[in-house]
Amino acid sequence: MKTEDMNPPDEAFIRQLTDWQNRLFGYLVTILGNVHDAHDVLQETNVVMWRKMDEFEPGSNFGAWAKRCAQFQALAFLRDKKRDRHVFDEETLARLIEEDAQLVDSASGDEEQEIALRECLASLPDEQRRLIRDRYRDQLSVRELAGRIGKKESATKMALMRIRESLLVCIEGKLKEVNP
Amino acid sequence: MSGDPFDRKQFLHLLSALMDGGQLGEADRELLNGAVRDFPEARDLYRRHMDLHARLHLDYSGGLAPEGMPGEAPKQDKPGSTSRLSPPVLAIAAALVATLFTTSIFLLNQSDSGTVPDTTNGIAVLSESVGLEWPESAPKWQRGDAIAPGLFEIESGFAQIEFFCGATVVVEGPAKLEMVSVSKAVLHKGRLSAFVPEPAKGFVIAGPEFDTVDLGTEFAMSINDDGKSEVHVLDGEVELRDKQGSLLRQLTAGKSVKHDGPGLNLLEIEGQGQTFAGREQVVRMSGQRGESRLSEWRRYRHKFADDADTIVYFDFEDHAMWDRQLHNARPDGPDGAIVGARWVTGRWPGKGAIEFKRVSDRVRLDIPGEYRSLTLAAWIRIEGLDRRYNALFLTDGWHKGEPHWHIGNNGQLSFGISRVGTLHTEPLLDSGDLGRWLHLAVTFDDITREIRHYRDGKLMSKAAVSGEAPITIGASEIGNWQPGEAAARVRSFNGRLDEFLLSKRAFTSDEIYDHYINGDPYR
Repeated sequence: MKTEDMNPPDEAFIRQLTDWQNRLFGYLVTILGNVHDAHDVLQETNVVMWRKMDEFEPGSNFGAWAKRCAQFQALAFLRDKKRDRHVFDEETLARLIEEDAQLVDSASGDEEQEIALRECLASLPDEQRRLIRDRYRDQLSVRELAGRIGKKESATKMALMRIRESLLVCIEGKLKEVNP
Repeated sequence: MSGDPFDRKQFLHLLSALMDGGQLGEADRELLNGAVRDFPEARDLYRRHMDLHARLHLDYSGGLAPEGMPGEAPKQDKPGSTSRLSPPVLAIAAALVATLFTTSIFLLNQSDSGTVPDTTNGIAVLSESVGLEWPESAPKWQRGDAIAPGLFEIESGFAQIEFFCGATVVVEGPAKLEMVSVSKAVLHKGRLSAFVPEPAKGFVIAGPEFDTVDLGTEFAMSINDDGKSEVHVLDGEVELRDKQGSLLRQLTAGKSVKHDGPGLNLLEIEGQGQTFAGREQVVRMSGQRGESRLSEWRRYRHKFADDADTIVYFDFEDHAMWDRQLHNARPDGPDGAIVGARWVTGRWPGKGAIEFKRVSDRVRLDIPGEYRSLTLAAWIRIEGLDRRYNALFLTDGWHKGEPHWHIGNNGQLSFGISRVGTLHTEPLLDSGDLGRWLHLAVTFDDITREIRHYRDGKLMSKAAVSGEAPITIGASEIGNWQPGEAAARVRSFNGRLDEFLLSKRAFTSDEIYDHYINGDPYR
């Protein structure tokens, strides 16, 4: 016999909240089009979710609820910003959001993605891995990167894009195996 | 641009400008917006790239990967470490706290505690049970369960209940007992005997007319069919008090009274305390029942050893404590090798089991062949869900066609076959499931392409998967995982295993239930 709901709500809530951080971030990057705004909006979203913890029904879909909160914050953020910060207009955003809701989020896919990404990064040639590292860890601009590797900016951009394309192929291949 | 076909190359250029180029020019922004609006393949590409972009950003900026460089092994959880939260997550928690609270202790305490919630609102433990039958609507308990306040009703059988105050009560069905507190219960119907050691003095069994307060040691009480109570003092002394708390009668060893209404008229009767089932009797009956259940199960298990579809059947019988080779009861089937795990007692006294405790404990297997369908079933006793994933049965690495079966630290069951598909259940296990024997099973059916998860003989989750690959197993482990070349966290299992079945046939729901019910130690 199990006693119903022995979970103190806040503990379960925090676990879900932390479990969903990466995916919420990814979601916000998709809506907002850049990581810096996504960072800010994620923090605001966390605060809102924490305040509205009581409105979340334990046992219901946390991810869907969290995404709704994030989406709401993102749209509010865009409303407050100058037009030139927008990547997408309302119609496009609505389509992205609507389509995203149809996608299934696996509850534990996040760690698998993380592992797959690492394995794929590890399998990159050194030179490519270094480029990605410099771009993301050291936040170097394309101009700085180009200077460092002695190539043109356009070639550097293309190189980054190509690496990301091959990473996607690699990750998606591994996730098809979805390591449970 | 809705009239034009989707230009992938141009779109990648736009994405590149967005991700690496800083600010997007107005013309490019318009093009990107139009493509994402009009082309599903643009949205798909955009979403995948942005997701990777976000992940790379997190991974390198200290978001996801405090361990450092990609390609290096992520740090394994320290054995015994309770906090699963990585520094960035703690930072998020801390930021929240700073924003919202004047004190951070509350939140951090919450995040620090284990992953499976702690118990409970119990006031007593069901410490022994013999042949208990429950009314349809009543809550049903198993041996070892903490009992919450409320009605405890049985139709037949014997229940030994240990109250948290230290008093032990043996209830004989049919009976209806109302559990009130750690030191009080109300008997509405049936017979019980109570043993009250010194620390539990003052323990009360209330009846319809009066309360029996134990001043130490032993008494029995019954409510007869006519609704009248009887009290028999076996040892020591009890007080009978009315509902206002006034003393009605003090009874010493050997004395018995019967309520003989109207009013509170108490009639002295001949002592019949010996006719009540006591603790010793219950334990003896329980032991006998365990023995007979064990021998029933021993007769039953042969069907799996005899089944030509059985690949591995470990019944953990007929082993010596020093055995490191785990005998496959299926003749000619591959044996296992026990590494680290030690021999312990299984579901019944006299039944063998092995216990996985340390990070290195495991059973090694090497299973040749290709299979179309699969059933995995196990009797386990989980002591803790210490890892993000807690291994039941996993192949080394995770190559095409290989099955993995494990439990998440949130109590969710997962089963997947590489490149075929995976099914995660909702969280199905919680702290009430720790320390008790559980039957878990999973099947994959080649025809329906369905994965089905079972818990205690019940179908919990099913879904069809889309991938195609023959199932191969090869080098594999029970209770642990060798990740192979991939860097990954430890997945060691914490608990006991006393039956394990691997069949190349997908069992039906009935077969799974049959396997469960014939091995259920709580029956």
